[in-house]
Amino acid sequence: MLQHYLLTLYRALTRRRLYAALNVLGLAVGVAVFLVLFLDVRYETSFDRWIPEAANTYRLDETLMRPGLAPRPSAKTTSVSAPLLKADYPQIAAYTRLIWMDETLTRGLTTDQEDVRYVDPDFFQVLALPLARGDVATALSQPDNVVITETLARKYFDTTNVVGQSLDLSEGHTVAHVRVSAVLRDLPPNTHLKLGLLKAITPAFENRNDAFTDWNSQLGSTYLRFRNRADAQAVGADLANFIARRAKGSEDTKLGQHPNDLLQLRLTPLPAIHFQAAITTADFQPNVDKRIIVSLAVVAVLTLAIAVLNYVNLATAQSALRAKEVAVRKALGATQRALMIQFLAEALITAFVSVLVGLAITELTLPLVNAAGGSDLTLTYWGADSILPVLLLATLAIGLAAGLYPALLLSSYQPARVLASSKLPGGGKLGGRIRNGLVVFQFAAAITLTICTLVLSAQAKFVQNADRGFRHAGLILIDSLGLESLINKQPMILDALRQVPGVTTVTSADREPVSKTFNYAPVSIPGRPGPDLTVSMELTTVGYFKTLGGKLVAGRDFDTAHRADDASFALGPGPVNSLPFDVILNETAVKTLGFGSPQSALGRSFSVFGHAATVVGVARNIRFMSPHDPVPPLFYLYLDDHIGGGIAYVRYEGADAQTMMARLTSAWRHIAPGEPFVARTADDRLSAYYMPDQQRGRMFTIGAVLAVAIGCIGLYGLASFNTARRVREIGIRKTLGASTRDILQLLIGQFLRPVIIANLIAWPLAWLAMTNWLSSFDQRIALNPLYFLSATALTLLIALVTVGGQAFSVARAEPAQALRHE
Amino acid sequence: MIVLADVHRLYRSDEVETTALKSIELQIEEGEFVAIMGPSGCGKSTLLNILGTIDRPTSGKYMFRDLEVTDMAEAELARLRRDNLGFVFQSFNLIDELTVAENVELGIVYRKWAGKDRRARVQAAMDRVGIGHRARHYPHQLSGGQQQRAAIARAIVGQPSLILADEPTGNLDTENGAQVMGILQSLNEDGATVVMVTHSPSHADMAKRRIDMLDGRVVVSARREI
Repeated sequence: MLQHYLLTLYRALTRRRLYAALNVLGLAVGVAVFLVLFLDVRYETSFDRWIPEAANTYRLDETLMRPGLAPRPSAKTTSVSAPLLKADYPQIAAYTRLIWMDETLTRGLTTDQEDVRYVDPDFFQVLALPLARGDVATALSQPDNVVITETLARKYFDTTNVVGQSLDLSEGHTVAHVRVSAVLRDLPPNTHLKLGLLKAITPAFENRNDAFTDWNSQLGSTYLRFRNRADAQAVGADLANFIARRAKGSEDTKLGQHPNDLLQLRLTPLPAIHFQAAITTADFQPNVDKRIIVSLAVVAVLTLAIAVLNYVNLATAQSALRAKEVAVRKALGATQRALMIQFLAEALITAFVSVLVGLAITELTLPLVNAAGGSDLTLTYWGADSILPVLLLATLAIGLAAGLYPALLLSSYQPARVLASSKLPGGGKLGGRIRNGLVVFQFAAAITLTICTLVLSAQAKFVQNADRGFRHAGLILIDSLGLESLINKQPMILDALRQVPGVTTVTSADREPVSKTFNYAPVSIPGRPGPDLTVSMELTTVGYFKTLGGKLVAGRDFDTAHRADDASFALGPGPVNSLPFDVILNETAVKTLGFGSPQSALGRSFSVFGHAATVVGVARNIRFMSPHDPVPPLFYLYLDDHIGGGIAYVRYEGADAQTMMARLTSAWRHIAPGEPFVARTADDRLSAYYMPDQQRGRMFTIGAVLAVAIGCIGLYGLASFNTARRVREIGIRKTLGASTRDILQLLIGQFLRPVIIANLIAWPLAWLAMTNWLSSFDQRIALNPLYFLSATALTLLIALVTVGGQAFSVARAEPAQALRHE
Repeated sequence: MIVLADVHRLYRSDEVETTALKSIELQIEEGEFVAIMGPSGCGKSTLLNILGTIDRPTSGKYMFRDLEVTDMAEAELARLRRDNLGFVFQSFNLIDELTVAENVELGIVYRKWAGKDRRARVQAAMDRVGIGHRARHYPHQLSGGQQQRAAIARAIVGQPSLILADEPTGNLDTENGAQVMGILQSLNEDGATVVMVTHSPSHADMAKRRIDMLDGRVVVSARREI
């Protein structure tokens, strides 16, 4: 019997090659889109799940609340809390802090800044990362033991067999001679962790850092392992009490009398960390907004659904051609069940072929998709990540979903009616309505995706071109300036950098402009009641705004003429004096401090750290951060000396970025011999904030375009089939006086009507989705009706072109020819 | 073999109600060759469809070999058709995608017979009607007469006890029509009961019994003296 079904299917497909090709192609493209997006969604949802006991391991995240600032979620926590939590909660099996420093590693002539992570001795009890060499039990047992990754081992030793070998690690002002006790296997890409070298936290390290005693200081992250989920939930629910119990006290090291007003702690399960999009720092791999992954999953399913609906529509439209066959089979003794099995088998076989073709399309297009989406997706056929179970499931699901309704319809034809009738059955009014309904659904999905794609593209372009408050092209940031060993040499280094050919101006600051790692300062305004406001603080040197290309919207820049007033807030070695000093505010700070307009802010004063600060200028907001985040209130301080942990900003012209990097690298060897040169262009730094949205947007666009294409394939097939059925009718109409135009209106209108109705469904859906998505951006476009109208016009045009050609050729045929048509 | 008792068939649509058959009383014995005649729209094909269980009476009783067919479930009717009936249609109704041999095999594909046995029966049926040399041809490659002979082969391949033919010569010329009638006669002589709807008096005369219908009723039922 199977052989008979296969034979019948093969003959049916080869007899109607066009519809067979449309069916298989439509399904195959749907399968390909589904597979690609499935791979992406699977990858994004696989982060950290591979770590043993991931389900019972949590990161302690916090939200800082400060007057005048929006609550700020953070992956950084105070290092005080971890041992106190362990003491208070027996449910915690183990904890580790993970404190990141960019320290310098040296071995022989090889020296570079590396990701150094200071961890507790129980690190491997919490995060059981696999070792390539060495023993977990002793890896961090000694203060001078370090664990390095395979990549670092190869970089410094040309081999991974390095247990027992030594390196020099610059820690602050000292250089420690450390011993490699173990080699960590390089981490796979699907983890939030970025590790280079691990070293145990020592009493000396704790003494050097306030974060081990001060609740106000955040340094690194804290990870906790529990025995089970219930334990984690119990502790998570009690964290507010923990804060009230342990963080209450003097504001020198604790959080005052109401610590829960300033700090919230929460437990984030390891597999959920990757979706903490609001907490993205350079110290972890970039996170993603879960909504983007969900939307990609929706696009994947919708595209496949559109392809399946195509099949259903074409199959039911063509069902009339098989009505005679069904009637004859029934007359010869076929039961309805046997016929249903036959047609379902046909659908399953077609699905199988389509899945194979779809798989081939996926293999061929994955490199292009990876390039567009900045991803590294691959198809794996064996092992834990095998795609074969997915393909099998897809074949079954597509075959059954696509084949069920046509099988029901076809097998229900009554032989007497079919054989007695001179007309081919078309499923009746109900059948026609169902087919139209399917077209409406397909195009509603396609139009929704089109609107979303237009909005996504417009938002990406807006964000790309929006004024960031500074000139990012032609700007290089040098992190190496902040090395402890170079602090006293900073003025000399900056002067030397100014001599490099192509460099126009050089300045320095203590961090990236408006980075996620803020220095918060409590600010009080004379005469203003209530608690202190919180404003971020940025330390700068001469020429900061000029070098960055920032703009002063009121007042003046810091300058050497006003040096005594501007720079009287001294930091670094020596006592902090109490002289008043000048500050420049950003636009957000003007509003936060309630100073009205930039002009009226000039000359206003406030108190910070016991000093009186006077506003001498207001700068346009500089946005060196994600477009999702608002620019916080900020004041700039002027130092004319060195800055701890500083970054040099180099403005250049007359050369490209690569050439300038090479010149600076070469110059650095003379300026700071033996010190690593770590630098990136401002564009590269910014791309980390903008690239994820752009890449995801491109993936979404590809999926949406293909969904529309699949809809059109189906529409073409349906139009072709329906037009062929109506040739005789058209001949009769033309004989009775209808013009070509009348016929065109009849044929095209038949298909444009459901497309127009589809818009009524698509518009509100797209509006809801895009309003929700755009609300996550601080910089965003308005939802212009033009996006909706353009999507409608575009899909109508595509539908018109798809259907119009066939309609036109049939409409122009001679009536006599049409009437002879069988 | 066949008993119809007070059989009515009504067709209802939204606006129109049509009575195709009224108070049909009919008995057909095993081995009879019955011709049903009447003007267009008198209900001949409807009667044939009911006899073939591909349509159900609106009221009345249909007994086939002492089995009450009227209330049988669809699956039971399918089995009954499969095991006992053969159909020959005016427009042949061959499946265009299948060869002659494959079309003939369709008559027994729903029985659980081994492939070798099936192939032997198919060949025998094709040879019986003289179409064996066209086994690998498709319907569109055959003449009308050849197509109808292929359809007859499909009808008889399962050795049905009842053959229902709805105007089997309606689309054929005189020569081919005579050939088809010859085959039907030969099948009847071999023991098959044949019920045939026809417009042709000469073909009706070849049957042993003639039933005339008018406006949904049987008006004459006469056996021919041979």
